[in-house]
Order: sequence, then structure tokens, then C-alpha cells
Amino acid sequence: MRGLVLRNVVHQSWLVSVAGQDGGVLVDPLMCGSFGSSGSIRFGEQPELVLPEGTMTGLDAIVVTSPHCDHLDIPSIRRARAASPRCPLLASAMLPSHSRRALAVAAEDAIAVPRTSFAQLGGFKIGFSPAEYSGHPWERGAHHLVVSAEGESVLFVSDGGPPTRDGIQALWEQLGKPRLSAVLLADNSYIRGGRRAGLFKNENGRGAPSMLDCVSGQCEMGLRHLPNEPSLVVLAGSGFAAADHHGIARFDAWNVGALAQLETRWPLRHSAPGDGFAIEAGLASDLGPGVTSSPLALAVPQEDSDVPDGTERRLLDALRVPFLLSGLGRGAVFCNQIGERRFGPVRLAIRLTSAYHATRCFGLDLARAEFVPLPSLPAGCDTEAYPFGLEIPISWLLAILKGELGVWDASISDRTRQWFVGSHSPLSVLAALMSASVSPQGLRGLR
Amino acid sequence: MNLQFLGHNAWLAGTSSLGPSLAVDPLLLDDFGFGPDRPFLVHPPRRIYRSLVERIGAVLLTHEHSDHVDLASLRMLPRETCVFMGPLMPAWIERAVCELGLRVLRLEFNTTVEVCGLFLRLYPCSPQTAFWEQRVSQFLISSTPTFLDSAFSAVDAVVSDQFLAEITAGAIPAPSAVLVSNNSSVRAGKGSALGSDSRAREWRGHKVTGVSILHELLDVFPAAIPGSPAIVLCGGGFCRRGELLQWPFACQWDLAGIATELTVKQVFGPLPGQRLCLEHRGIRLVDDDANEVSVDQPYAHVAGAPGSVSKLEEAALDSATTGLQGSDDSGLIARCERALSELETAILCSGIADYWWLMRARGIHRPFGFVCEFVRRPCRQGTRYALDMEEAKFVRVRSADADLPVCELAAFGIAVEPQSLLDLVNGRRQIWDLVGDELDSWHPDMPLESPVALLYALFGEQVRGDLASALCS
Repeated sequence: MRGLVLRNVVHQSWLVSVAGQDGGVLVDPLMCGSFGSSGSIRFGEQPELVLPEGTMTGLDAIVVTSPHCDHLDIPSIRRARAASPRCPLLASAMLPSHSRRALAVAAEDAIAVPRTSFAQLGGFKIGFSPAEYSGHPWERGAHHLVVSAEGESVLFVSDGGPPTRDGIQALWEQLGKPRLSAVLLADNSYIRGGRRAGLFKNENGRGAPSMLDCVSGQCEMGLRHLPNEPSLVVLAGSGFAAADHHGIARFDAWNVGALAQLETRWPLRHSAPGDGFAIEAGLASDLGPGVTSSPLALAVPQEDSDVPDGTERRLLDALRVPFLLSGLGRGAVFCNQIGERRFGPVRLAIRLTSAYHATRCFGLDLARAEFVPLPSLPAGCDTEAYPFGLEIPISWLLAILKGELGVWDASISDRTRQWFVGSHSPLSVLAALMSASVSPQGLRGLR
Repeated sequence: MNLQFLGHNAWLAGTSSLGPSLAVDPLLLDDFGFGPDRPFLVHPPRRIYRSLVERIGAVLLTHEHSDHVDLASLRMLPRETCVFMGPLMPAWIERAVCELGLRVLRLEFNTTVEVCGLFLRLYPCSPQTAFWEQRVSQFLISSTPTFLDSAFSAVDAVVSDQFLAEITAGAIPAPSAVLVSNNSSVRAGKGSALGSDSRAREWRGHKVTGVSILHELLDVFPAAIPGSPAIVLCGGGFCRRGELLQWPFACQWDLAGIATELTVKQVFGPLPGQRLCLEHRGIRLVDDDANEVSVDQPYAHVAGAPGSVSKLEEAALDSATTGLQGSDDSGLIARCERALSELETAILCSGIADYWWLMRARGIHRPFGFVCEFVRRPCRQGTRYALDMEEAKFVRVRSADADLPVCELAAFGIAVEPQSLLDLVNGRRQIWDLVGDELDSWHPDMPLESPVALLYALFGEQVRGDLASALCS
């Protein structure tokens, strides 16, 4: 038994190989210096990812676990296949049809692995297991991956919550009950400067989780139902940065420092691009960085364009019913008061900014069930006046609803601000509405 | 304090049986419902006389539903009568009430006002409440500012957390009486409006019994309220126009009689006109000594009906359907397809879609997420459209699948007459006007994610006030 080597390519992209052998299984390749789905708005500078020559030749398999743009990146798949032309491309047969079609564009011979089966390629067995929250609009079609070889196995806990008990047990039976040696845990907490970034950043500070909350929550969720305790748990999935007009901000910079202070029963490691781990006889050891690479930069939109007259009204009409029916809308009905502060019927404020004209403010009036104009408040004051709010360049909101800009991409920028109480943020409502399973026509507009 | 029952959920509260009083959700006519047809009748049938109407000094409207807001009843009141409503009552109702010449006052929650010699305090309902009842304003009412000998009504919603918190904190005493709305609304053999159609045999759910209803009303619902308040059963006091059968378990006076035999609790089920007198020494139920309300014999209009229940039920189930097939109205097909396209995003964002994707991940899903079968009487076979969850759009079901039991195509669905769905989408009728008769539905055991719940959320007063407003005008 020679054991396995895990090498973090970048973010959630990993190379699993047998110690001392070439080739291996490349998971969710990201190899083009950027990812993200938006193409219509100019991006900032993106550092190139530098991979050493020969790293990606002779692969045994390329595997895609999820329909999300940070897992399924067509340019990267093309690049990986160019380096290993005969390498099969695998994905779960449970990937949604729109993602299967996208894969087929990159590789007509993509292999769909049925949920009740596994693929065997070289010395590797590769199987998928459903995620517990795979019903959620963003997570529909996300699956966990198990790669097994040399009597060891690695579980990639993807987005979408923990594996299901039945799913993981059934897969383990099929794989011949290998020892679970390592778990790669998607860390989507995205703490940035002490605040959560992305869809759940919160200007009013409420609900901003600590690093400890994030990590323990990830472990609590992701490490349920495992067949045995692994010797290695790696937090992955924050190995990228936001490139915006303030420069490059690495999401994991704060995580790394906080992680060193954590006390947990799990054998936790953080991974940076290029980091490696050896696994042999169920024991894990650090290999240190073996690949030279820059942090991957997420492209963030930089500029906005002018929009035609009447755009606000059309946008707000399109958002009215989705917001009212969403968890945010339902929660807002009960948000009558915070402390001594009572709220009127307007519970959600939307500030539409523009480089071309003055900021315009609208509020979702729950008694009228429609958006109404609001007096413009100085930035920051509205977080006190309304329990929910979103500030976004109007051209970006238009681009999002036209499917030209990903919600997640826009959320990373400092120009997109939001505040909320509870667990439903304005950006999360937009993300659900524009998710591929709800608005597949939007996906076609994205890169 | 006197609380006089006016039928269904309507009450008249005052400090005496003759003085000016506060009417709560007044239904003063024989019928009600949005739209010119006024599709519902108050049950048991009763007549309210002018002398009682003249005693109404103010009105409280708890929420926007047609069995609580009857503009025709409000039109009978003198101009400038004060109408109280909670902070989130839809604005179109405020406008409609103002157009009647009445004066609207919005009340904040957790704030006491004095009206007609009584003290009134509104509360938001619990967040556990179903979507379509979330704007209910629950009320506490008493003849004393400290709310001694008070009555609390949760109306159609789950008991307010803030109300319970105030009792726990000692800010108010526990109420002497709780008005419990019995909205079981179980129609013979059909399950409740949110229940699953008999076609979905696996999800038909448990048979509803009188004992289970009583358990719900007497034990489960008021369980969180401290003390031992008297339970006053109301609600469910209506039937559809032209309907022969009264809904079972909606006869509160019978339920109260049974409850009194089965429990040690004090339970009242007043008939319209009867008054509850809340006094320091206890609660009494007395008849209408002013003869302001007269009640027809309960069940008089359904004499002999019990014997025909099974035949009627059978007839209803057999009432399907040619659907759109054979129809020479191609315009109807196009309109129905457009109507379905309006439902797509709402379904795809809902728990119905979550369910399908979850089942898909587990490998136990059905081909489609939602089916709409257009049915027309009197044939059986309908035209089926199904929501392809991966393509996110409705497609016409292939003929090869047309003979499958419809519930095998999707875990959620509706069977509806084409024109009925168009009426709903275009705001000519409301979902409650259709369910049971012209629209059947099936779903797994998750009633709050049922097709009826979804259609009500999408086209109900909370979201589409424009439709409801147009219907009322």
C-alpha cells in the first residue's frame, strides 16, 4: 500500500494521486486565474494562476461535483483536458440537465455516474452521495464525492450540507467499505476582515458569525454520518480572493490566523493553494506547499453603466412577488419591532446607486404589497430605519435579472451592501430567484 | 364585559347589553365573500336586526380575509364610524373602508386603546402561523385597563408569542376566556381545503374525527396560555351558496356540549345572538334579551342530507373530465398555458420544488414536480400539463404518460376546470371559491406547502391586493 497524496490546486480544486505515481483524479478544476459567471461587466485585474509544467498530464479522471461556477468551470475543464486529452470527464448523473449540457459542450464524452453506482478508473473508485440540503434552490444537484484507492478514501463534502446517512452508507457498501482517511470540508463561511462576505454579509452586524462559529458549524454539519473518524479534516473552499478597486482581499487570511487558536476534537487543517497532505495506513501528514500558485481572484464587477428611464420600476415590479413570497418577506411580516424601535409597513429598503444620477430609494411596503419611493437617507442611517435593505448599482441589478451577472459575483463587491435580521438576506433571495434551477434562462446569459 | 356572538367569527363587545359596542369582524348580512356572487352563507342562518347595528360604535377588523372584512356589512354603519385595524392590514382595504365614509385608525401592536368603554390591545400572531394568516391582529379585550376578566382571540392564527411573553412578565393577567376559531372546515369525505385529494391515496392522511378536532381546539391550541381560561368555540360558521351539506365539526354548540361531558374545562359554543358575560365571579352564557338576532333552525336547509352524503361524494369524485381535449377553443388552451407559465417561478422557488430535488437526490422522485390536470365534466380523462423541474417549465404530458394515475407523475398537483384556473389567475375568483368543488389537489403530508397554499400565497390578498381589490369593487 503506497497511500494517497492530496494536493490543493486552488479553492475547492484538488488533485488526488497515489504516492509515487503520476496521474490521479482532478476534482473541480479551476485553472484559469479566475472563475465566476459574469461576462458583461468589465472586471478588475486578475492575477494568473501559475501551475508547474506537467502537473496536469496523464490524469486518470477529471471529476465535477457541483453545478456551481466555482466547481464547474468550462474553460478550466477544457484546459485540463487539453493537458490530458484521453482523460475521462466524470460527473454525477444527478447533476441538473443544464449543467450536463454545459459539460457536454466542454466534453461530448462526459460520463454520468449513476447515484447507485461508482466508476473505476485506473486504481481509483469514484462515487457520489447526495447532500442533505439538495432541495435548496442554490444547492440543487450538488453532490458529495468519494475517491478511493489503495485502501484509503477521501470524502469531498461539497456545498449543500452534510451527506445523508442512507446515502453515505449505501455508497460505502458499494465501494467495499474503505477506510475514510480524509475529509475535505467546503468552508463557505468567507470571513473577510472579521465580517462574513458574500450572500450573508450584513451591514448592521447582526448575525455576523465568529470564526469559531463558522468552523464549528461547518464541522457540526459536514462531519455527520461518517463511516469512521478521519485522521485529517481540511477546510477548503476559501482559497480565493476578491479583486476589486480596493485591491486583492484574501478571504482565508483571517481564517488562518483564527484557526490556529481553535480547540476542536477534529484534526483540522487549513489549506492554501499548493498545500499537500500524505495519507498512509490511515495516518495523515503535511507535505507542505508543492505547487507554486497565486491565490485565485474572483472577478468582481467594477463599473456600472447608465440605464434607460423606467428601469427602476420594471426591476422592482419583477422583484415584488419573489420578495413577498420568500422567507425574507414572510419574516419581515413579523419584524414589527427591534428593541424599542418600531417599524412601519416598509420593512425592506432598496437603494439603487448609479454613477450617472442620484441614488434612488424604494421600500417594500407590506401593507401595499408593492415598492414605494422612499426619502433618500444617508448611507448607514437606513440600517436603523428599515430591518432589511439592499444597496446595489442599478445597472448591476439589471444585469443580474437579465442573467448577465451572477448574484454571488456582485455580492463580493463593497459596492453591494445589505442588512437584514434572521437568516434570509436580500442577496440570498436574489440568488434563489436567479439560481439555475429556477431561472435556467439566466444561466444561458452567463459565461 | 359582554361578548355577543354574531355568527362565524363576528362578535359585538360592550360593557352592557344595550350600550355602544365594538364590533369585531362584523358579518351583518346573510352572506359574504369577495365578488358579486358573495359565495358564502353564514351558518347557522341568522338575521341581525337594525337595532343591533345601531349599537355598533366602532369596528375592529382583524385581517383581510373575506370572512372577516365584509364591505357590504360596513356600508350599513353610520359615516365616521371608527374602524380599527392593525399595522399590516392591506392598504386597499383601508382605501375601501375610507370610501364608505368610515374613519380608519391603524393601531400599533402591544398598545392599549380605549374604545366603547372597553380596553383593547392588539398583538402580532406567532411566526409559526401559516403564510396566508400572518397579518392577523390578535386581540385582548377587557372592561378594565388592567385587563382583568379579559377575553383573548387568536383569530385564525397561532397564539402570539408577545401576548404570552406579557403574561409571563406579569404585564397583563391571563385571560378569563379564549375565543378559539374552529377552522377545521372538513367537508364530508373530501379532507380539509388543504388536505390531499383521494386520488393520492398514500397521502390522504389520517381521518379527522370529532375527538381529534376537540383535542386540537381544547388542548393543543390554548396549551401555551397560562391559567385555565374558558374556551369559547367559534369560526367555521359558513357554507357555500347552493351547498347542501354543512361542514362536519363546525357546529360549535354541539362540540361544546360534547366537550363539557368529556372534560373538566369550561367550554362554550354560542349560537348567534347569545352573549357571554365576563364578570369577576365567572362567565355566563345568556340569550339575546333584546331580540336583536334571530336564528333559523340549524340544519333546516339540509334536512335529509346526511343520507345522501356518500352519493354526493361519489358524484363529486366522478365529475372529471375531458379537460382541453376535444375542445374547439384553441384560445382557451393558449390562455391556460399562459396561466401556467405565471405559476412556474413561484413553484420553482417554493417548498414544492425543494421536495422534488430532495427526492431526486435520494433517487425516489417522480417524473415531474407538479401536475395540472385540466378537467371538464362529465368525462374522466383530463389534459395534463406537468412542470419539468430540470427545464423549469410546464410541458404537456406525453400521451404515453396520459393513462398513468396522475399522482404517479408528480407528488404535487391540481385537477381544475380550465376556466376556474383562468378566473383565479385573472382575479375573478379566489382560491377558497374553488377548492373542493372546482379544484382538487394532492400533495405529500406537508399541508403548508400544498398546492392550495401556494396558489393562495401567490394570488391572495397579501400579495395580489390588486386582484382582491378589483374583485370587491
